[in-house]
Amino acid sequence: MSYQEEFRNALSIESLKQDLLRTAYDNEGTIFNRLDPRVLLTWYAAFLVIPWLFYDMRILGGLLTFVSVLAVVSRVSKYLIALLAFGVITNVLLYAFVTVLMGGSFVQSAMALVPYTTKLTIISVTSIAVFSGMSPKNISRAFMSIGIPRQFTFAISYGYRMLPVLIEEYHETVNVYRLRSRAPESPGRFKWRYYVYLIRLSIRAFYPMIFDVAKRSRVTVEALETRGFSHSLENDKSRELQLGDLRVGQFDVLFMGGSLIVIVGIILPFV
Amino acid sequence: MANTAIDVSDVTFRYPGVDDPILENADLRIERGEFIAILGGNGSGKTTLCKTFNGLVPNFFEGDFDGRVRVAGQNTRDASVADLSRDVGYVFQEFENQLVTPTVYDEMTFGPVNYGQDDYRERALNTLSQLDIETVDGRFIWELSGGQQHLVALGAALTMDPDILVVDEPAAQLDPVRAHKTYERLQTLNENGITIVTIEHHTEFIAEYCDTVALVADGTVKWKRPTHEGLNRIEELREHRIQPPQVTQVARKIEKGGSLPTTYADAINRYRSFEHETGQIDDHEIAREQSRDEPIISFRHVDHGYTTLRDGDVQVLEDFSLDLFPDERIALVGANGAGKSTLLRLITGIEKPNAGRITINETDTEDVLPEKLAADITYVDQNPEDMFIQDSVRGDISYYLRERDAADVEERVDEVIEFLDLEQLQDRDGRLLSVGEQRRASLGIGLATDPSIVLFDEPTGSLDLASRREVEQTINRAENRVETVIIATHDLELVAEWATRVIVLNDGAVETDGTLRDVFPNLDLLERCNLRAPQVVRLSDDLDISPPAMTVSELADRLSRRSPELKGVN
Amino acid sequence: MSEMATENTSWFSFGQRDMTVFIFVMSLSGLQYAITEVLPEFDVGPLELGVGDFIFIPIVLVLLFRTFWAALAVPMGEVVFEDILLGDFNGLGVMEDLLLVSTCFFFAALLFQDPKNRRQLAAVVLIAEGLNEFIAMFVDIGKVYIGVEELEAVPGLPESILVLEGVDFITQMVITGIIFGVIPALYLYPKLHGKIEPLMGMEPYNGTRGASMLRGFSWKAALSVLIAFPLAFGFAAAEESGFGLNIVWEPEFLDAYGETFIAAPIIVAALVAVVLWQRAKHST
Repeated sequence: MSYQEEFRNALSIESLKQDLLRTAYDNEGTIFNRLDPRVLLTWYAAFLVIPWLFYDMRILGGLLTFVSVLAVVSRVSKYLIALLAFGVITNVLLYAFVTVLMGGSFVQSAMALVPYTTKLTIISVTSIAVFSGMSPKNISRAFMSIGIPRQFTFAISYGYRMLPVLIEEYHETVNVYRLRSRAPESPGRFKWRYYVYLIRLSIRAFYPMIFDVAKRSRVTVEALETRGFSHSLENDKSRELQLGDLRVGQFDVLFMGGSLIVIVGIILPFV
Repeated sequence: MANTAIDVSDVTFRYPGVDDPILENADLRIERGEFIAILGGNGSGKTTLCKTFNGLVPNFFEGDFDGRVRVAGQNTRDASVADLSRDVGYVFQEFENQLVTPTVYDEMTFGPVNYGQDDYRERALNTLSQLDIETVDGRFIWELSGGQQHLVALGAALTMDPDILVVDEPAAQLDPVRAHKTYERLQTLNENGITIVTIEHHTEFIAEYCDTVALVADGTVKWKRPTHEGLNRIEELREHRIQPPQVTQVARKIEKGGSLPTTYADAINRYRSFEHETGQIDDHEIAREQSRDEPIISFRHVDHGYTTLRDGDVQVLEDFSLDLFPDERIALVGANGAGKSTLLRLITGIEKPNAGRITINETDTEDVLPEKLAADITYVDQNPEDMFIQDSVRGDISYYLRERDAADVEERVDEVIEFLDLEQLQDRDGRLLSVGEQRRASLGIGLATDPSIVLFDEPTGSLDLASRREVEQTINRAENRVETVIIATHDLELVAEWATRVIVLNDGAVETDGTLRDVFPNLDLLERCNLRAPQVVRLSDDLDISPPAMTVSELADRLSRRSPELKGVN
Repeated sequence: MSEMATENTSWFSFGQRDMTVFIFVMSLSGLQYAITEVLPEFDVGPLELGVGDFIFIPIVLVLLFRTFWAALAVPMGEVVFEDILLGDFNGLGVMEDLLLVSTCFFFAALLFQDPKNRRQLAAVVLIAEGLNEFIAMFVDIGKVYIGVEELEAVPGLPESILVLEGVDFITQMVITGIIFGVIPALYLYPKLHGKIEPLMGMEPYNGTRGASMLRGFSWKAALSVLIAFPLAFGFAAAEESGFGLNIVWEPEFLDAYGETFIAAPIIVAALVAVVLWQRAKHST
């Protein structure tokens, strides 16, 4: 592969963009999205607690398997999972390694860290599965139902609206810079020249973006006024309508019940 | 008063931190059921005037406000924007930023839910079917085309059942056929009893659809008149940088006084009785002699597409081949989404073909980075603002040269600045210039690289007369320095005055390719491609003038030559 | 606008301008977090040596608008764009970000008294990022101490945690704080100051020429940082320890710190959160 070609592929924000969009927008129909968001939040809260109740690695392993299956089912980005796994493993190894430098034992410290790290991993996988499986609309309704003010829940759905637009705009801006800049003639050792060039462009491209977003924000807030947004803040009826079609259905009950059975099944053999 | 929808009296408004008021003693009265156009050049204050209707001025924009605005009998100062907005729907010029929720359905229900209306679902669904966009209700806003987004913004305003609807430049970003559809839609709404206010500077649309027209200039309403009467005041319109409809311009040249036609139908009736006679072809539109040997840009069996979330891979170009030669004035014309911009981006090398070859001066775009190609090619963006990446025009013009450690940067920049008369603007931030100035400055950025090819993407979008003139001059100047100029546009008036070769794109394929004279008379073909020939060309066709006139002066010459009796009659 | 952050007006009044600034800062910070999330990183070992966040962007924006809402928009951008939309949600850890980043940035922004003084600008950026990273370091160390049973029993492990967190703090300060913080901020702030505010219909902040940073020292803001610290710790501890459930079963820990140590911050956190939300709700 020629330098040009490699360079181009690495710069292909296009494929990255596609991956991002799929993560953010392709969650219709996942299990988590079909649940009532309030039920899901409760379930999630429970999973923040459950791992801490056990020390037995067999139970923790079982729980990790369970949430990993859920993560796979809810189509979590593989990139995120890989990143997480990498982080977890290197974390334990590095701590253990530095412990050796401090005169301790590698195995002993790794053993001390493994249960703790496993618990954290269970929680991280759960978080990623729940929040990438749930549509932002449901996330903001869930938060709204526990009393978080609308300005903040609106921020979530607004971010959902704008993310691809802003990324597209940013991509365009990087392209404008590319057409006016000079690419490094050769990539250099470890392609450092290419990385520096890329980072320099990425940083510079924010300058025009700031102006663009400033204009957008202004029109958006104007438009919010004309659409009765501030009216809705004091209006109970409006809040009721926004949360009105949330109801706990059969599927929610099945899911909670099913989870309970699985968890009991994981725990019982070992206590 | 019961029949008055909007009553603006003696309004003066100054934005905070600005010395001159944007509105000064403005008076305007709009009756219920009217379809009125607010006409004015870029920066005349027409948008600010319309923002007083729903109370954005002065309730949202703090500033010095004097005078009184009554909407549906209510003083806007005593009501909130949210309350007024139930009566006054508003579609912004930057409508994309008005859409604040992720999906079309959410957007449609956003207003009704905010106001706590139980029937929000029915309202949303009814509006969607009224606008024939039921099929997109589950789509993400960002997936939609600009035209669809505009419809959604319009629909979102309609879900509130407003009595008054204000639409800021509804046609600005649409191709001619879609623009007419939008106006037809507004006309239907008007027939159903909604008062419609559009902000517009395309007088052709005003003539066809609006009852009345108000001219706004220098922050005040100069007058409000029935459309026909208003558009007859040609000198005054021109003085305020408004271009009258082509038919009116033609009539002005051949008739010395009296009432001039403003709509197309008027013009036909007026001139139908004239006798027929074949005219002489003006020579400037005839294709230049070409040495058809070495193309400067060549597409060979190119496939190109992109991936979408919903539909997988979408092909824009399939087995596409085209040769472009030096010294041509090439117009790539086509409706929104026909593939014009894709073509330009492929030429710049920013996008690469999935299959096939594109060569620029015999260099395959696959083999080099776009950074390299940029030495030969300048791309002038559709939105000139996007070209400014530095904090001064001068900085932007010199950026490319500095990046390449060019010799005598300052002299070269000075030379470009002088060539384009940018001396006054060179230290200002490009983003804060007027649209016309931005176009000029963006060309300066391009010319600094000494390119042989200049690509203009939609150079005349949303410009008033004066700014349009500036663009036309700019393009002509560019031609003196470079080998090939390519313009992608759906503005066929611009094409008629300039191009030697017209390539009509439709759905990513070349529908036809020839000289101006070959292509423009084929009205059916243009219509099929969602394009519409300039009024003078259609008028020539309907009057059986052959070959058809391309410009206003040409048709005027032809008509006056043909009809000596006209002068006698008048 | 320049008056908004003074002691006279409430920090929690939330008008149209605040909403505009909030959306503006949130969108840009969020975009920045999303972009840096996907940028290639050069990891040298497991230590985070990659391209960190382009932290100068949010800091400069907060320094331009100097309101609490602008500061809060920064972590909101991270939560919305990176955590929720890109799915990289880290549980209650988001509360840590919301509390620490917003209060540290706000505190630092108030110290910025003379927009023309480049040294002050550099100092303020360093304080904002440094304070945030420094507190976050303590929270991190505390988390491991609470989470790992019998940490002290493994020789060398506690030291290794201190060393690694320390090294991480230093590299973060160099990479994020200086390379992607102070240096570009010095360049960006003067370019935006006086240009971006009018575009959004606001007056630029002019400050006082030659004024010292001490003038901007706000007890309220300092106090909010001091409150945010234990709160953030409380949230972190809550997550990393199952809301204190496993601690209750660890007698050594109880002996050493007492149950209240864990319970108090959680309760305070909950109370403050409720009060903040109520006030935010009513002031619109």
